[in-house]
Amino acid sequence: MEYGRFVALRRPASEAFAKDLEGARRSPRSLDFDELEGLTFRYRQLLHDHALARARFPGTSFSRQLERLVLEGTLWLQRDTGNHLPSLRAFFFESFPRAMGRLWPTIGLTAAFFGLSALLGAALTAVDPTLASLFLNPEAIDGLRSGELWTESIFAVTPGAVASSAIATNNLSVAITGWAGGMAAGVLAIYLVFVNGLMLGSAFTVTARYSMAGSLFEFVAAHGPLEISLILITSAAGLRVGKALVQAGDVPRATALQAAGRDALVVLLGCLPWILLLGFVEGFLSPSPELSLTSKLALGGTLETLFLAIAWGASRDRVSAGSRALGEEAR
Amino acid sequence: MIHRMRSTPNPAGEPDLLGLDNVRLDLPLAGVPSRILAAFVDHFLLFIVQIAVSFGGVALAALLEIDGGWAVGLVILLFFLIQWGYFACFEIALAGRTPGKMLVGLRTVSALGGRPSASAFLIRNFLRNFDLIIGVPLMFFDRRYRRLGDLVAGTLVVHHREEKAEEEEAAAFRHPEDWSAREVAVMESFLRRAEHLESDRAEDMARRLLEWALRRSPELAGEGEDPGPAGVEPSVALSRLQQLFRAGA
Repeated sequence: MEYGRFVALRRPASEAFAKDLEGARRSPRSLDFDELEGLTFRYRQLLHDHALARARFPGTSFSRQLERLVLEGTLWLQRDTGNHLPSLRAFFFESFPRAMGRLWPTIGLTAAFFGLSALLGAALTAVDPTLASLFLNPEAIDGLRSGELWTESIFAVTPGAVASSAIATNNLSVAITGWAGGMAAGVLAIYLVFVNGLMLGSAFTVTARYSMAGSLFEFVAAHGPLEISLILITSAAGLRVGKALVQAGDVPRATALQAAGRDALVVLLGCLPWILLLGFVEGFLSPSPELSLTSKLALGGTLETLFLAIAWGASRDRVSAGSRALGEEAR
Repeated sequence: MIHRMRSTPNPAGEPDLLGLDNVRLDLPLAGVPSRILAAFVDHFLLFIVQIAVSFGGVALAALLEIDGGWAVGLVILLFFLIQWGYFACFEIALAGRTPGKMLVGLRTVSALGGRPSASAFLIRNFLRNFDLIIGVPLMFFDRRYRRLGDLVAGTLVVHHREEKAEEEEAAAFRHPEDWSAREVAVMESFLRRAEHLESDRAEDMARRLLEWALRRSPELAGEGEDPGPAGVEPSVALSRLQQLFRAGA
């Protein structure tokens, strides 16, 4: 086909598409089904015109015009799946438990590693108490000698709202860093889990040395269990993506990475509100002398149970329902 | 409309980006310098916004007589939300653009040139701080200039400007119907580039092209116009070419 004839035949269609696309961009919700279907049909024709023009008439103005229209049409007409944001209820009671269900083995491994790090921190500090100075400044250790926990001096001068915000944003940053760090072959996430475990073991050992372990336990009772769980879970989510990077299995690496990334994002987003809540608990309730140890333990236990019930209970129900359905079908 | 920059053929060794019906797409990928420039602009704007929030928060708290502790707590929270939310919120709201990207003429798209999902935008932006360390070197090695956030989210950054002028310019060429595509491409290519050439060089090339065009299609010659080599004045060749081949000239 001659170039002139091709332009004469196909320019009207490309101009019509350009006009319709411009209209669709301005008011996308005004399109009815027939108009949208017509637009996508013309887009498809344009794709083929572009392929032909690129092969037969490269460098011409019409070929360049078609290329621009194709790219513009692709941008506005093609959407990734998953663009529709679920409702909050659907997210927390369906998407989040589903993503957590796929993550439990990794969480188990991460928790075991954390436990071992804590034991190592405790053992090393018991042998050499100066190890604690890696995590606590000299004023904090002096305070322990005089029977004062370092948290008491912090919260004595810092208003609850400031402490709460600072703690919440710090924990959010740690969670996101652990999550992101897991994606780079897991190095940063593993380091974060290791250091946090070491710190916990070391802190309890050094406070026990000065008979302050009970005070520390009372301070962390309300927020500690869930906070540790959330750090481990977000790190595990990142590690899973790191695993997909290194070991993609039977699918292309890009596909495995993106699927794992979406799951990891759901887990992170599901954990973020709990981290915010814990900021409030740690800023206002944990340092409060009016609350007894029993109350703090009850609060900590309730938060942890509630979180696990949402994250695990719903996913187990789904697995059980699926198994039952399969069993009935087999019969 | 897409920026005039020539689209990038898929880098050697990389699989083609295939759109609907397996038609190859040559997306105009943004290189590392453009991306760094856009990021620099955005980080600068982010810094300005955070300064404004700090002063604004304190001033508002004083005005409304809010307790200092709560005011500071709120500012800390806002700082955090702005730090982590600036890029993601802009990209979700503006379909892949931030103020920095708009200034430089870039847009984030999916791997097939379409609009990424909200989750893709969130993933690539949660990894942004991490990418400040490893992402920039990664972009130099990746053939599509992707950082870790782009790899995990399945996105690309491309050149994209909304300008109608180029579209109208591209449609404003005309040519004799019996010319081949190659002949048309040569003429159009020269007329697009002529304004960027030195005037002597442009006129010289215009004279030679005009001689050729008038020999190729004598019907283009005006009355009394000599299509031969001696008949074309160098100083008027370019304007004559534009008159002949630009619609509306």
